[in-house]
Amino acid sequence: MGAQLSTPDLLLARRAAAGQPAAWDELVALHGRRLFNLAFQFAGDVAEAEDLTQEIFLRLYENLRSYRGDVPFLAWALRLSRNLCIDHYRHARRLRRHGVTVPEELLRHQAGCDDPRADAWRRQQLSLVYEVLGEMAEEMATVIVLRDLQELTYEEITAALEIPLGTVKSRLNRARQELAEKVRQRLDAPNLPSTREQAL
Amino acid sequence: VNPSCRTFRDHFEPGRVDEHRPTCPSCARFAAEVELATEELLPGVGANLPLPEDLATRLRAIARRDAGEADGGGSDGGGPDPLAGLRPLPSLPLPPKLAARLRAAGRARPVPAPPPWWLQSAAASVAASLVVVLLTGILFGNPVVRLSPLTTEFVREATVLWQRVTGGGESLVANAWAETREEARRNLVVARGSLASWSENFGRLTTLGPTTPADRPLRQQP
Repeated sequence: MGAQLSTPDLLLARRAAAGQPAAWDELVALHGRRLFNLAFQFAGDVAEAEDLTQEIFLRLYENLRSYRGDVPFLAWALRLSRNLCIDHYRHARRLRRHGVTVPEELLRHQAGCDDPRADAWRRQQLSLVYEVLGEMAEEMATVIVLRDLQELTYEEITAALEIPLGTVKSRLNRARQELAEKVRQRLDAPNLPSTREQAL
Repeated sequence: VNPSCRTFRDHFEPGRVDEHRPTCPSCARFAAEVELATEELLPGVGANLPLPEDLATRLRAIARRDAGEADGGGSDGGGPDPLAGLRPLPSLPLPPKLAARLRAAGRARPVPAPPPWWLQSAAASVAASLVVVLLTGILFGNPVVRLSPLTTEFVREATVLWQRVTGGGESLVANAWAETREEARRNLVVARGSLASWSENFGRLTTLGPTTPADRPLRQQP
């Protein structure tokens, strides 16, 4: 990091900053969906996610000239709008504590299967994961959202959160362990990890 | 957690074989839980929604609106503005007074006149200092000679004052000590009186209190 690279994103950003709408369209097409899903993860609601995505892109456009290509574009976008995302995330957590655990849109877009029991189990698991995520410390939940839920690369996460790679990895493992432990406690199935251990 | 366990936990990646894992039950449990999270609980949980088309249109329009503003025209030919309410803050017109002030700030300011040559020249400064010294000498005489009687007078006065202070020093100390001792004695008497009064009041309160169950007479048995 730190070195200026001539990435396609950098070229697009420069062209868009110079007033070429086609370049901006391409940036929207490349990163719009991922940023929208990230925003949804932080906001917990489609309408809020749309507002947040719009805010993120407005900030991106206003700061395009300062993008130097030294970090991935998605990470730079998150870095620019970190405070916005945190505000929405806190709001969503408050909602989850008041009973709204899994957004309806998410359940609707989950791939269903023919077995209704498996479907119900999947929904319960989803609900538990979101419930536990809502209870976890913000920094722990954030790395899970970025890495496991939105599949950002380690490079993108380190750039977005501005923390070293080692910290990201250790924080992620601690967060995953905490999540599994809490979900397991709620499922009241203490044999889950132990069966794994036996298999190893 | 000892250092080797900490290293293992910090760098653990699901599915990776490590020598430490079978030797440490606590770390084996940790690894199993991390794998449970990554392989069973978290896959497919994240949102993967399509980008809504109207949002995509609004996002694309951000650049066009700015380009339109730069050209001095709107973003499109007619119909409702898809960007209505796009920016969170309303765009207020610049107040005329502020505009005038901002314009004035950008105008070239008059360059201040340079200082006179004699202020910039070192030779002129030295010459001026010499003139000041000569004039002072002529008007007030030699300062050392004029200050000498003053110094002598000061030393004489200070000596007299010092002798007076050291001569009566013993009686001053004795008086101060007697006053302090008398003050302390008076304070002690007052404190003793307060203590006695407080003790008497406290004694009276304890004797006037309610009788304890132990003081009551035993109930007559039938």
